[in-house]
Formats: sequence, C-alpha cells, structure tokens
Amino acid sequence: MRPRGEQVGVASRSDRAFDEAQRQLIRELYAPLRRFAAVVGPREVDPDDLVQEALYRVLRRGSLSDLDSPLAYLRATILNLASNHRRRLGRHNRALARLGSNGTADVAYPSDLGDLFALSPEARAVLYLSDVEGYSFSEIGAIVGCSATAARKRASRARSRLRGVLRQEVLG
Amino acid sequence: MIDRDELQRLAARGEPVGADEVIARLEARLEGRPVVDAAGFRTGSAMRRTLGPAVLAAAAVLLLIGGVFMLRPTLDDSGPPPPVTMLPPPPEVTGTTIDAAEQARGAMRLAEAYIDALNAYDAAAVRVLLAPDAVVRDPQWEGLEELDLGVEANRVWGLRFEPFECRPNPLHPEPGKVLCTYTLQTALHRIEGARLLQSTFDIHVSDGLIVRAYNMFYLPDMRPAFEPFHDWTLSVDRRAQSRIFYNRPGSLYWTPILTEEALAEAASLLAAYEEWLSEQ
Repeated sequence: MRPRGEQVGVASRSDRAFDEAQRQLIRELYAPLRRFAAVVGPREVDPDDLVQEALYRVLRRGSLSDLDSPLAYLRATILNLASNHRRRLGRHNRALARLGSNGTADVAYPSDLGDLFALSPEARAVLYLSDVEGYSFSEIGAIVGCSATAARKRASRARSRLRGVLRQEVLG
Repeated sequence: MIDRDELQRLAARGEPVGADEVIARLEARLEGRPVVDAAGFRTGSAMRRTLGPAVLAAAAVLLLIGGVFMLRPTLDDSGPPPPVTMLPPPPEVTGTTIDAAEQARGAMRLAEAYIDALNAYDAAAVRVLLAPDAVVRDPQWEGLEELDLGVEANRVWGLRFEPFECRPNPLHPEPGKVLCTYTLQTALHRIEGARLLQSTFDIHVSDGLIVRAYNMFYLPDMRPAFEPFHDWTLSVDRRAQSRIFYNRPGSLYWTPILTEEALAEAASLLAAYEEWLSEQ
C-alpha cells in the first residue's frame, strides 16, 4: 500500500525512465486499474484519464517497483482522484442549478448503471472489490482507507441505498 | 436489479485506450520534467541513497574551488589567459542515421499535414494522406467509410486541434511513429469560454502514408463545456439528444449520429444554444 521505506530520496532521470520491466508492469496493471477507475470514477471523467493521472503521480516521484503493492496503492490513488473529481463536479452542478438548469443529467443516460452513480466513489469501490473481485474487507479497508468493519458497514449501507433507489423507481 | 453483472458492466464502460497509449502519454508528460524530491518515497539503491548527499556536497566544494580558480586571473589581471573550452568531436554521421532522421522528419510533416487538414475540415485532403487500409480510430467516427461525415461532424462541433505539436513517439522510437499533442477547441468551449483540454494523436506512417491515426476523445470530453449544453437541450427538447447522439454498445459515452439530418439538427441546436446563452 505505502511506498517501501521512509527515507526521502531523489528521483533521477534514469529512475523515472521507462525500462521494459516498468512498461511490462504497467501493461499488467492496466486492465484491473482501468476497470476499477471505470467503477469509481464519475461518468463525466474518462477512466483512462484517472489511470493515467494515478500512474503519473507515482512515476514522477519514482518507480512502480518501489511500491510494496503497486496495484493497491494505485487503486487508492485512483479513488482519491475520483473523489476530488466528484467534489468539483458537485460544485459545478450546484452552479448550474443556480443558473436555472433543471439538472436532470441522469435521465439522459439510458442505463441501469445510472443507479450505481448515485453512490459515492468509496461505496462503489467497496461493492466492486467485494462482489466482483472477491477481496476481503480487511484488504478493501486498506485501499479505501478504513477498517475492515467500516468497509463491511459501507458495503451494507451501499446495498441498502441501492435497494432504496430501485424501490423508488419501481414505485414510480 | 443491481448485482455483480451490473458492476461488471460498469467496470467495462467506455473504450479503453490500451496500456501502450497510456504509457506513451505518461512518457510525454514525464519527459523533460525537472528532477523532483519525493517526500516519503524511497528510490534507487541503498548505496546511492547513502552516497548521494555526500557526492552532491563534494561536487559543490569542487565547483566552489574551481570557480575561485577561474576567477583569479580576471581579478588580478596578471595570470595566463583562461583555457579554451574544448568541445567533444561530433558523432560520426552514417547513411543510416541520415535515412532515419529524414524518415522521422517526413513522418512528422505528414502528421502535421493530417491535423492541418482536419482543422480545415477538408475530408479530401485528409483522405489523400491515409493509406487505403489505414486504421483510423476516433470516438466520433471510425474507418474511411465514415470519413466524410466524420469530418463534417468535426465542423459542426467546431473541433479544432490547435495549437498542436508533433514529435517522434517517445515510447516507440521507430522513425514512422509520431505523437502529436494538441489543445482541443470546440464550439461549446468557444460559446461558453470554458477551459480547454489537451490530448494526443498517435500516428504511424509507412511508405509515405498514414497507416494508423488514433485520436481519443468523446463529446463528454468537452468538459466542462458539455454539461451545460446537455442540460439546456433537455430543457428545450427532451428528445433532441436521442436524434443527434447514440450510445455505443457497452459505453456510457455518446457519439454523434453520422447522418446529414442529425448533423444539421446538431448545428441548429448549437446556434440556438449560443443565442440563448448570449441573452442570459
């Protein structure tokens, strides 16, 4: 999760250069990172942009091989970026509302997936990592930044919220 | 019902650009950046981390002594003239080097002409630069059969890739591979005065023609300009969007419907939106 060691280092150009090992590691990490970014990212943000930004933030400081668990660390970075985007978009939408827009963005996306976007990025991350990727709640907690118990509660609350959204849709 | 399948569909949304494209973009961003301190981040070998500060300190002392030594003759005007700096001999230039350099320059000129033609909305000029079997990938249009209407869609949406800059692809040093970085300008950005975005073209050239041209952006990439337009169209005509956009299967993103009628309606909606915005 965290970069190995605690010393402050100086990244040289050769450290940051893309040797073949580093490229290969990115190729291996790309697919799981992209899926995760697609789940937690706001729909207005391209998942590839999130993946690229997370990799960039790590690589400008050093090498991926310096991380104990690059996949988990990058997922945590993507989640933080997604949350930042969500906050910015929230401000944007509130500004739109003040301009008199009706703000019914969900209607334009003809997909059931719109319901999932009603959840926070953290809640989507917890559901995805537990239901699809089969992670334990302690592993999920390490990525989301909470305890295993809190991760379990978040998953439970997310499912309840989804049930509520779907029930409302059914009732019209 | 939201279940595993829904989550998997969500995870598969959009069209991935691929790991190699992400690597190319990262290379482009990281290239030429100054060396940075990485707080809390350990890089390099233990020996280099230990010796690094010592080597830097020694270099600083040597520079100081060297500087004092170099300044001395100037200060007292009595010493010998300063030494002439010797440049290393230039590297030997071979026929292969010249060929590769010329090939790379040719590929870059072709890539620049391609983007110039797109910016001029000149489909014929775009077509002559492409090989007959060229793989063109653009979220708005794909393949040569969609070229004319795709370029027309670019015109309607006011897409311009400028300023742009082409250079050899840092990830693929072969002379025919070019990466062009551009600022994306659109009609919506112009109308709303929204912040502009940067993206890249990945262009491969072979035998004097473009064999691959990948441009990755979707209309929602016109953010933050797209959302106000989207909300406005909903308020004036809830069905208008389904007449000008469609969702590709498995994607949440829209792409323009490439028919003359749909593009004409998009143009008219944009004009009405601009007028409405100017009255606000």
